[in-house]
Amino acid sequence: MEKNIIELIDIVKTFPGVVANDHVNFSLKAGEIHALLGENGAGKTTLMNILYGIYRMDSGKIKVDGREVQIRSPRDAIKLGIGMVHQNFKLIPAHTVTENVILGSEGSRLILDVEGAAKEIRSLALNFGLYVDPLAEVWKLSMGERQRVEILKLLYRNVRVMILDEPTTVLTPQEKKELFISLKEMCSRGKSIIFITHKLDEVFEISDRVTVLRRGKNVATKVTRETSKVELANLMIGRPVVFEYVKNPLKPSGIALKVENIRVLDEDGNLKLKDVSFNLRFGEIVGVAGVAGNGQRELAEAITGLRKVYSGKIYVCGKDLTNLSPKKFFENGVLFIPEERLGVGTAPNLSLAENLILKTYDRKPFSNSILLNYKEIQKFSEKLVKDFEILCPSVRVPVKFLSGGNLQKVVLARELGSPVGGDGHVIVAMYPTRGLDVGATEYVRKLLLKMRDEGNAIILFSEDLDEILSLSDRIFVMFEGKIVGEMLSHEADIEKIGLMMAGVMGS
Amino acid sequence: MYKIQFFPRERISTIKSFAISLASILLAFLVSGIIFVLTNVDPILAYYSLFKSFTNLALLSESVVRAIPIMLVALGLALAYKANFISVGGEGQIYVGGIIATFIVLWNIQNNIIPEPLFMPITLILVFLGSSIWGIVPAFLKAKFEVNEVLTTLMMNYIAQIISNYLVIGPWKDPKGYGFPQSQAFPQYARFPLIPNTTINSSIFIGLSAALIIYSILAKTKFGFEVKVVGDSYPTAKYAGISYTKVVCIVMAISAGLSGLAGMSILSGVIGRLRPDFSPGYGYTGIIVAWLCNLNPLIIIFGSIFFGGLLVGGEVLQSSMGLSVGVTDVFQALMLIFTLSGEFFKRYRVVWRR
Repeated sequence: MEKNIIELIDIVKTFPGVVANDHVNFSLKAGEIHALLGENGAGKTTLMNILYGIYRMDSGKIKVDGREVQIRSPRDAIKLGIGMVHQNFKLIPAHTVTENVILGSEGSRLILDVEGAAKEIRSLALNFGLYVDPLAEVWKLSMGERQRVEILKLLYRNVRVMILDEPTTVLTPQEKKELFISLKEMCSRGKSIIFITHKLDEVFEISDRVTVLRRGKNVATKVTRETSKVELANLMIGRPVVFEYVKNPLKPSGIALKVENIRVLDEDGNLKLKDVSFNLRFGEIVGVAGVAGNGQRELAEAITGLRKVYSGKIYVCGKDLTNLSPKKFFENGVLFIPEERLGVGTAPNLSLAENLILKTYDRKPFSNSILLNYKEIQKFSEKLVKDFEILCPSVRVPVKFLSGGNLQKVVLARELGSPVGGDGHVIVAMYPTRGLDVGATEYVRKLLLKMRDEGNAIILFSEDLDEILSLSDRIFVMFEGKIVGEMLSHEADIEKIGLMMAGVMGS
Repeated sequence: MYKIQFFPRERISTIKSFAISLASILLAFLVSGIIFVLTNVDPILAYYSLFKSFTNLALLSESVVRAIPIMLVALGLALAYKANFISVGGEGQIYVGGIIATFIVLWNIQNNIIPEPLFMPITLILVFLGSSIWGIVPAFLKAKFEVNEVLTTLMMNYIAQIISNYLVIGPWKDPKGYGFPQSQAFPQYARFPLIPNTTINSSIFIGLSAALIIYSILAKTKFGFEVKVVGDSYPTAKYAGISYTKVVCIVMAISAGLSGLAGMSILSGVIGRLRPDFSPGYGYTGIIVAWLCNLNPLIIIFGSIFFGGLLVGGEVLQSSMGLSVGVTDVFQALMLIFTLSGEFFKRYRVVWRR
């Protein structure tokens, strides 16, 4: 058996009110890919931030090569050969790949040898299959390429241990495949990798061993091929989980939303939607797949009235709402679950109750022509808290103190529980389960299916293809501001969707 | 080696919060005490003079007089800050209010059209509306063209003050004023009557009602709700369909209107005529008071009186110990710095660790 190059022993880290890591043990062997699996908030990233010197642990020991070490900063970690790629990349967009890679490790010489560095980077890139032009400026690169730059940064610093925090979230299926090939190549050359994820499939695709964290505790470490998806899921959640969603047969009834040749500009005047047209019917879920930044945000904002269209028409239930205010859209039954829950979907310092009436505060019974009626607001919000199972100390708590799952429930409760529009609504859901733990994800998905069965029209933007495949009736694929593919979900093929997302083929 | 770490607090007990405020104020005293010592002044004696205004009835009454304009400005600013509109335009709006009030007075002296009993109510309304228009300018620029409001409001202060000074040495100079740069005196009907046996003029009631009104707007009305949403998160307001332009324009109309009334209260309540540089920085003191009082309109009433007292105390200090009035400014600034730092400790707790 290979020896452990890293050992984390009895790590404890607390944040106010939370024990993020509760006596966690973890070890990494030379040359292995070790998956760190857990729901959001299980303490995976915290544990790795401790190893990388970003957080200081309250107690515990870190051993590298069998010797106890103090890691006070990422600089210390890098010196010990440990590097980390964060979920949010830390690159300077205006600089080139090479400049980003060498930043911080220029040495003490006066003259910067950029060309030499670029050469070295090119050869590293070739060796590990991390194709990216060393002289390209980072802002021109795709998210997949930026990730390669982050990895090259670590390889350039000659780290032995690489921590990757949820690296596949920003990738197309093809890019993900390429990443996995590169990772295996690195391992065969003696690097060790810690792979943080909450996706079970990835654990089986890539890892040799897996450690499961649940609520800050490590519940098990397993050799991957000796375990199963069901076992890991149970360990991760602490109870059995539904993987398949029961979907009732499609019963569409009339067109809810009709979008005709819309063109939309972004803040800088670039065309972000190029002649997009589609229909959305009551009683169906349409899933929109695509790599982030291909016009999904602009489309969602256009069909909820938040962004003006440059040309084209938008009809809701046959009514022309083109370029009317978000308020008008809401009043006509267009409900929006935005991408950012905190800061768009809710106002952080306002109370739960205030956030629940954010869109209906100006109507009866919540207010008369001037004054708010706090009694009615309280009554209404307590009812929603109960109906949507929102966990909170009281309806007066500022929503910034709620967890991601509860916050999403606040948004859902307001959008779906507010008295507006007619019978059927158009629900625009942007990444509604992003960052949620498995329990909350299950809740949101089931709720969306229930809304569909009740005859609402739903358009679901998601980066999780499994989510799109299991919930949608039809699937659109977006690439560079166009819907490049449309298919029925039971005829969909994940490979084909991936190629469309990458712009390689359109239907 | 010890390491200091900060953790956000979820909530804080009233006692702790009070203790932190008290500690901040004491530290401000301590540091300004050091400055006193460095300038060869006995700090105990200095503080005694500075706070004499709160022990002596005549000085207290004078402190309240100073508090009126500060209160009006601070209330308006607090409303703007609640909408996250960082106006520093109180000083200019004071001058605008003063200019409008003086204009109406001089015009009525000539034409004698507004009947005397109606003069003050009409003038109050016109001063409020006129200053509001002045205040809407930076709000509109911000909402439509994203022009930074700190810069516009600050620059407009100079414009207003210079126009006011020009008028008083130019077209509005009192021809019978022996060449002094001042306007004709306001006639009795254009003055706020004094509260019997005090030096306090009746514009104090405008300040007190303004505090109640601003408080109610924020706590009870639909508009107050919109202000809070806009102030907390602009994207959320947009998403909820709340018009940013409408909210900041109304907020600044009220804010500038109140500061305009502050200007009028100085002229009609205290000086009785337009003079150059008639506001000794009340517009800026208002900023300090608004923040120190946590943007709470009811606390601002007391905060203004406290700062009014400091101003009076500063003058006592100047006359009795020969110190510059600047000392009060230093003290005020230290109070602001320490209280704002105290706010940080109310939001975060500190942990010392080896």
